Amino acid sequence: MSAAPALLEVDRLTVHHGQLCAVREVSLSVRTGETFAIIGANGAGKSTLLRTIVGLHRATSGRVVLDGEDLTHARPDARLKAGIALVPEGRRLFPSLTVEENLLVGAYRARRGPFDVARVYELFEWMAARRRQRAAQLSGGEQQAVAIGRALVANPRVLLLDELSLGLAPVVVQRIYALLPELTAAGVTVLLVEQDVGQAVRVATRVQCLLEGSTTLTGTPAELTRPRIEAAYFGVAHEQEPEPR
Amino acid sequence: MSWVNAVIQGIMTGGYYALFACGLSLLFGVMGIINLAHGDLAVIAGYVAVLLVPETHLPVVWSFLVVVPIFAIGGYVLQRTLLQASLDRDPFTTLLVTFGLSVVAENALLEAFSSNGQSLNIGSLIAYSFNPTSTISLSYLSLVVLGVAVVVLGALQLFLSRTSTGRLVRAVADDTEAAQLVGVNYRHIFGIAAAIAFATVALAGIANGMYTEFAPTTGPANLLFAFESVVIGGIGSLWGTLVGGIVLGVAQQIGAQINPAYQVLAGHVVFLAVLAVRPRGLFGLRTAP
Repeated sequence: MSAAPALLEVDRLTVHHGQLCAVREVSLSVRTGETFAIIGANGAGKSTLLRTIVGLHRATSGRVVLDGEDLTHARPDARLKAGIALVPEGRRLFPSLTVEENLLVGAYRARRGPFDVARVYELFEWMAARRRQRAAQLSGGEQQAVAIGRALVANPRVLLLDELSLGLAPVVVQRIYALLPELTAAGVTVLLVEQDVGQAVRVATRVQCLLEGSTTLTGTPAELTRPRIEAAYFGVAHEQEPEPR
Repeated sequence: MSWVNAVIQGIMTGGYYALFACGLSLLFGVMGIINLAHGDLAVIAGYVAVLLVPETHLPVVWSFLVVVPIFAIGGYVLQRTLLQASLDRDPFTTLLVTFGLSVVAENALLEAFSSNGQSLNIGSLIAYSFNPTSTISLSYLSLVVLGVAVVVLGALQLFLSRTSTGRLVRAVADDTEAAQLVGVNYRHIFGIAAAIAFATVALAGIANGMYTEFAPTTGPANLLFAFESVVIGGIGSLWGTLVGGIVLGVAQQIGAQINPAYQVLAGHVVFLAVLAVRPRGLFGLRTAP
């Protein structure tokens, strides 16, 4: 482990959906300035983990700590104020509000920081011209951009991105992921969830793999070979095999 | 000429229906609560006015200055406690809870005030009218109520579309969970919406008390007209509610013109016709998600 202090610490978090244990004793620590990726198949508990970190689900046990502040029992609005923002799976814009209104609602409880509505319009050049359009009229990729903008204007310390690539054309996904370095440069730490392993490994500084709610692998992209990732992703035990590359 | 008069009277009745219905529309539009106690709330507002006005020495016409703030605060408190608790269980519970509230309110009023009718006596003001021709008579009270309805709906529309709090109300109505993600305390926003809804139903209850007699059991019958106005106009559209109220009012007056026994029936027939032809109502813009 390097010396950089952990910004977001998740400590042995367990989450249930009714009887089903969706996340089992997952720990992770995201350091300031990092791009941390959680990978895993459908139903591995990735989204549930993110939703619990922002407070939409109650944790059965374990802790969520942001820069020393225990937020395990805080309400979602308090967590946003503390500096955790989520771009949810499926974008979840306010469909009857315009693009600009979506961003303004995002800035409702904003912290001080580099991002505001004008800065988001600089980041996405097409957006200013279409700010009076209803969010429901945008394409999927455009909606994803507005969703990212809506989270950014709150000036989060940690930005959680849930399945950015879902339902989008590869070209659009590339364009959206190309933004990450700019966010990192602006001081935003990123925790992202991806089903698309290739994409995650390309952008991340560290990767953690979940399988059926438990951590099966952690490491930097350089350390992780394809067979190891495959084993952790699908739960097939061929980790002892030699690793040709 | 009496047909023209029927239409004009219908439009003015429609103003009252719209004033009465907009709170119902707001509660359903923002938090998905179908408030079965809405009609009883209007009746309670009438009783509160009857009780309090002698104490405050205000002229009866100004009684809304006292009753509306009480109702707004009451609406916020009720939403943050009982209604939120039932919403947290599941949407169906709110239906049972508001039905229960309706029953409790009716019986409490019967116990306290007996089943005798009450009204808000505004003296000779009720009789003033404007007569453009010998067969058409426009009551000033009806004109004022129609004016109040238009002003209230317009103000509500401006509040929702132009203010930052109104924007939050729309955001919460669109997606409560996403609103939480941007730091909105949706329970507080629900409370504000309930406060507005209760304030408007208080106005409607007072207007009703000035027009006619009310008794503990008149709430549910009025609720039906509010429902019909909302559904005819289209859920989620405030101006639609005004048009819906007017369509209902005109239908009733034309029905009464044909035969006095057809007044209420004609309203129901138009309501059913709209439901059959345009289930989303005349101005219902919301498409299914």
